[in-house]
Amino acid sequence: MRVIIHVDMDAFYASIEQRDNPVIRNRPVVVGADPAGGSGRGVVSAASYEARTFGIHSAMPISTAYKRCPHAVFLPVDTEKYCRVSSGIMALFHEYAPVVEAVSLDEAFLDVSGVQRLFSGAERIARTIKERILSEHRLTASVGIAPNKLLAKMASEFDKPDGFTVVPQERVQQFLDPLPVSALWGVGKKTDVRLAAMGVRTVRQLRAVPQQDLESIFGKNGGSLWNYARGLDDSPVEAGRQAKSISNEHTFARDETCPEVIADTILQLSEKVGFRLRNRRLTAKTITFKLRFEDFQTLVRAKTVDHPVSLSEDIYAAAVGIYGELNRERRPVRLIGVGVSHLGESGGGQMSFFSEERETREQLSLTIDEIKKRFGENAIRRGPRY
Amino acid sequence: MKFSINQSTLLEALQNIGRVVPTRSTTPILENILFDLEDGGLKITGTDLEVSITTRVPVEQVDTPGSIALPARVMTEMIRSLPDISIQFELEENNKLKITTDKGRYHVSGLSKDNYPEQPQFSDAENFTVPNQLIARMLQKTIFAVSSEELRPALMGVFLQIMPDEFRMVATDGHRLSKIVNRGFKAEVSPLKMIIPPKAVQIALKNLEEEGDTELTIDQTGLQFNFGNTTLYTRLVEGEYPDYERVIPRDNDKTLTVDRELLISSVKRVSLFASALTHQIRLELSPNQLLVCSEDLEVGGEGRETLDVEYDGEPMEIGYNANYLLDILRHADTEQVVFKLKSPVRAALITPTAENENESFIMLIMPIKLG
Repeated sequence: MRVIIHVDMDAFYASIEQRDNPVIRNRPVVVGADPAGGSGRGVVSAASYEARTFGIHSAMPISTAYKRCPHAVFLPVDTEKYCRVSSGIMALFHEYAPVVEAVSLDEAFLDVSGVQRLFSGAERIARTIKERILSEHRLTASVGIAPNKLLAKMASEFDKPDGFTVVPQERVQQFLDPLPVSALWGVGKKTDVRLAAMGVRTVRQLRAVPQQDLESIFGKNGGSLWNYARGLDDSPVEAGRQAKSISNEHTFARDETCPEVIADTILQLSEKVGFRLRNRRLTAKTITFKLRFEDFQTLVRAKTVDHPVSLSEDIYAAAVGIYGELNRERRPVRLIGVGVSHLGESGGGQMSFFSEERETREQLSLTIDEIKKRFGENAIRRGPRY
Repeated sequence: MKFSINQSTLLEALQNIGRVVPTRSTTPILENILFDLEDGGLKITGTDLEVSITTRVPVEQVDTPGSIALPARVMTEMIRSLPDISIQFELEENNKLKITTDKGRYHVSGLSKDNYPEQPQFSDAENFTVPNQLIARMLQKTIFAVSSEELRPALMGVFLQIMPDEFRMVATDGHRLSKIVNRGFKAEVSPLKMIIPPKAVQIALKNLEEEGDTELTIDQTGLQFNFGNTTLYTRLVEGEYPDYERVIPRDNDKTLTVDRELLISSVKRVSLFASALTHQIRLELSPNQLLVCSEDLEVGGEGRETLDVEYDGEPMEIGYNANYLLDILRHADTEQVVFKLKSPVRAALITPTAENENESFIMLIMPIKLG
């Protein structure tokens, strides 16, 4: 039988900020776009538990968050810092589990099926991990242990924050039955509403619906619902699984027309994306650029290069090129985003004559990355080149 | 504006102009071509703002000079579909052009010349004349190595260098390089260097006659080829061309001599079994024998061929992109080619076995690191 641990960091971004700044501990902290006194236009990336009591949650417009709690501490997203903390925590997982699937910066599945005996049981492993995250990183995590990924994830969710929930095989149904259907995978708002219309609110009620009925109403998804209601899930923990793309966006405080400001923002975004890419020792074949105009018309274009890149300046060159093509008329810009995809391992491959010079630039990038890792994102930045 | 013209004459001109006209542009006026009726004949112009072509064609009758910009696609399709007859054109009011043939009458809506981009003007230009054969050969031998990646804009063109005693062209995308030098020709012009975009090179190659000379006009930002009735203008690629001499190896001490055609067909066959993503093949060298092999780990395909060669160095295995290697082999003119090698991670220098008079021609290829 499989034993899966799901570790989910509690309000990860906000907790890191609170850890690093004692003044904002126990205060509502919102990490995300600049609220600009209520007229800010980006979104919330993370909210501390104190902020959540005001009804603030991630992906909410920052202006709404500001309305709900104007005295909250609003902080910008420091992705590089969170990446740094995340890689430390992920490294810890690898000490105990042979297979680790990092879902995002703050969440991972660990398959410990083979090694429980080595570490005297999955609970012991999970306890140790939780304690080490607290002692070494001064952060809390919620942990779920169960026979599969579905249940492990629901278990970690069950008692958040700082939770520890074990769902052994014999107590699966007992654990699931009272939960609302929205706690299951694949039950979003739409499905939830349709189930509610059928009088189905809890997993127990869902379990009473015949499989055929679910399939006729929800199609393929209906079959999964039937399985999930019974705690059945055989999806593997995939170690090799990694992000298919990396991207960063910026919403301007007011619609931007200045070409220099836009170019500089593209440069900073390219730098962020490049940092994350290199941090994972990856290269990218495709660079995407997202552009939203003042009227919310949104364009996304991609450029695929012959040979994979990882340097910020290569990402910048492609992104700024696409921008030039998309905005010849210099229309005011609301948002820009830079992303990379078709990721591959770095190293090897087609060599270049100018590699000496490239290696120098790659070395420079790695040095800048190192400085950022040590002293924070703002310790060093590229100057704009106009 | 009123004139008659022969269908085949006009179609030939339109097809040549069509090489620069963008099919879809964010600046819709560029999808048009400009007709200028002058006393001397009809002048037709197309541009994408980087490259422009103007060609003069004889017309049968000229009545009141005038100008109009016309949709390139419609005009070309229309003229192409007609037999070789005389066609009458007449500009009517509101930029409407009437086309009359023996059987029909058609109206095309045009745009005023005022909307059409002005031709770039030269400042401090210099003129010089080059033999067609020379410039065509040099462009053909380099264009294949031009980079298509916008990451290094300066590499996106053929680098032309005119020095007091030589005329040279270089192209590289960082993975292969081609350099051709002619010492027999002296341009009557001060030393200069420029990067010519590949689109202009391709159009120039189509317009260069086999015999004769072509006059070139150049200034800081542009280059113009004056081919008799047709002129081709191109903006030059901006930026500093990298120091290519630095990457040409001087100490490659192992020599491989191989039959060019045999190697081309081997590489073609073997590369069918290589990864479609990397096109990677491996050359295994041992005394007087070359093994060309490939394997596609994902699909499970594999190919191997053995060739008799002249090779005096120690055994070595080198990976190459098959397409890059084929490009190079196709451009070496002689029956046999010579590879000068150093190691599996250093550039190979490839030359024909014999050189043309006053010419030196070398190509380089970088390996793929074998994992």
